[in-house]
Amino acid sequence: MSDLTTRLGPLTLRNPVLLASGTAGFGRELAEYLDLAGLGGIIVKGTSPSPWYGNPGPRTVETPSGLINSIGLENPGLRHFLEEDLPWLRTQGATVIVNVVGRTVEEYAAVAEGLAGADGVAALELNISCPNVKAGGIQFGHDPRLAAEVTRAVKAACGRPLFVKLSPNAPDVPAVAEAVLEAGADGLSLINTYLALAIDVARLRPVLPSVFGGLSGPAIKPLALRWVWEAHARFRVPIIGMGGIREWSDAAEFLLAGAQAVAVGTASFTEPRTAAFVVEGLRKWLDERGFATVGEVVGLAHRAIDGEEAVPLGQS
Amino acid sequence: MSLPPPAARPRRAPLALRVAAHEDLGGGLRWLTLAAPDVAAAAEPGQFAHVRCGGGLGPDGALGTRRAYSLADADPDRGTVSLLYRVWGRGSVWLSQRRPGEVLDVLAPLGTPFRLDPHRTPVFVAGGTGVAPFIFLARRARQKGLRPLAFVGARTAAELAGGEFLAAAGAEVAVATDDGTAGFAGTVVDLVVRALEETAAAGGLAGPSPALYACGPHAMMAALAAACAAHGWPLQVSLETPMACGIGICLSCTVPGPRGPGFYRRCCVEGPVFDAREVAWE
Ligand SMILES: Cc1cc2nc3c(=O)[nH]c(=O)nc-3n(C[C@H](O)[C@H](O)[C@H](O)COP(=O)(O)OP(=O)(O)OC[C@H]3O[C@@H](n4cnc5c(N)ncnc54)[C@H](O)[C@@H]3O)c2cc1C
Ligand SMILES: Cc1cc2nc3c(=O)[nH]c(=O)nc-3n(C[C@H](O)[C@H](O)[C@H](O)COP(=O)(O)O)c2cc1C
Repeated sequence: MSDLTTRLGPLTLRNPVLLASGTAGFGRELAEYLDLAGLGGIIVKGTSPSPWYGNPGPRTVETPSGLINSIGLENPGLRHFLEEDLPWLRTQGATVIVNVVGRTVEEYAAVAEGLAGADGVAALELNISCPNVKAGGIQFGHDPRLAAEVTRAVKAACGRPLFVKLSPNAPDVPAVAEAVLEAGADGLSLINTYLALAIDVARLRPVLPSVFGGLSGPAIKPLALRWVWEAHARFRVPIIGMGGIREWSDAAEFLLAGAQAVAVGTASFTEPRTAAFVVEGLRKWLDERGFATVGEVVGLAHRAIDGEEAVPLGQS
Repeated sequence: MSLPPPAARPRRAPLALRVAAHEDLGGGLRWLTLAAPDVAAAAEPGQFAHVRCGGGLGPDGALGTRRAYSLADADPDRGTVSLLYRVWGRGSVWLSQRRPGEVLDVLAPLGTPFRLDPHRTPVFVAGGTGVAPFIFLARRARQKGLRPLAFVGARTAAELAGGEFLAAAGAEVAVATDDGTAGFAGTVVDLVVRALEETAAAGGLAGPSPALYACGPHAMMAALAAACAAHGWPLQVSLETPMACGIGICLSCTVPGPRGPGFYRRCCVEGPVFDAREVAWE
């Protein structure tokens, strides 16, 4: 039997399959359908220092092989998480990673500080796809300097393993990756949703009141894989890969591209048991192919067919 | 650091439900009956089924999100549930092509049902496919000894098929059409408000005072909510806010409350049935 345990630097998970932030709430609803303790863990909904109410609806629209969302990071806030959600998650035996959001560096740091003393938080995932209200609304994740600043502040406030979740909409994604790794991130989460648009032809206007939203689902899987591949080739750091994973073979692609773990997002909306099925599928695949550990397949696709290294970053 | 995992417990799962019957009702409406003994036994009026439909680009041809349909009827004796739907876009067109014997992937029952007031006369107000939940609710009301009145609105007579099902389930039905091709010419809200005001003027309903239950287009329900607030009639509404997951994890379908942000509730879990006073209508 293959060992599904996977190591991401300072973080060890019982298997490589996580629930992606914002697509699993705080676990209660999906626990009706699957055993949270049977997964690598849950990355909970983006958590801010105080409650955020989110955007007016409609908040999602389905597109070919994808979903555009503009939820607006609605969440009940840090205190609710610490008092209600975290204790419950611990009774389920779930490994908990907290997705951290804020509108200023101070807000991000406040969440990290609040988590520093909490038992049962395995790691932090820093969501830098938030507008910085003190810097004219530019997203932290679009500017390597801002991204590094918030990474440093969060790492100083909480020593737990820190994964920074990059936005593919940044003008220079590798520059942001480099900046956050230099600022102390233990690894990268790749990738958040792609900015996208759908127009309602009957109403002659954008479907979402926010005009743009974030595209997820199978439509973005090849795009996400490309970032995982490039980040692995260039940085060799721990990576949580995500984007459009629906079945074990999608997850296997992410591992082969260089991710040590994956997260299942939008697919849970149609089949709430998807993540559990992916665990079983990966287990079977590793067994059948005779791999003893997950680590053996991580980045394996980079070994080019004739022993040559694959083409590195930025060349197409 | 975490506690030992809890003992295994029963979990829910999407169901594989066989199409038992599928009828064209005319006017673009269809009646789909599924063999589902467990759902039929457990379901309450106002709950919905979340159906995985084809017509998409996924490897299995499925659409990326399920489609929600109110449970229009449940027959625990035969072990069936039924849906009443309009053939409209990708999902419902695919659904309309399913034949008896085919198997659908369905999450059901979901959502919070109507709370039937045992001391008041149930008055149903339905627009379009909004009749669906009231067929089931009429049956339940009759079982509890209540005598429901139903007011059904449609654009034109051809789209009134649901009214016959309502009558068969034991409701006394009055209809309104926008074009006057059947019943009252005008909106169903005008019809029900006029009817209730007239009975009030004539000394009230023969039985107890009314409790209203509505499902239909947003504008219809907003107008009705205003009328009910003015008259002091209790109103529960079943909302059809666009949903993705149907189980409370995506926060797509949140409904704003009257006191502004911070009072969002999920249509799929806390709803689809809400007290009209808990909804911001403007
Ligand atoms: C809780 C709940 C209960 C529901 N119950 C029923 C029900 O009992 N019967 C039923 O027929 N539908 C019901 N719906 C609507 C249903 O879920 C689908 O939205 C509908 O079948 C259209 O899906 P589609 O894939 O065919 O169209 P899509 O391709 O998804 O629709 C395309 C567009 O048309 C709009 N649209 C959808 N239906 C209509 C319509 N009838 N008139 C005008 N515009 C429309 C949608 O908002 C969308 O923008 C319910 C929805 C919810 C949330
Ligand atoms: C409805 C919805 C809400 C999301 N909320 C968050 C969030 O709170 N924080 C975050 O970092 N990512 C959020 N995401 C992004 C996902 O975690 C994930 O990165 C993305 O959806 C790609 O994976 P998928 O295609 O498997 O869904 C959200 C995605 C969706 C669809």
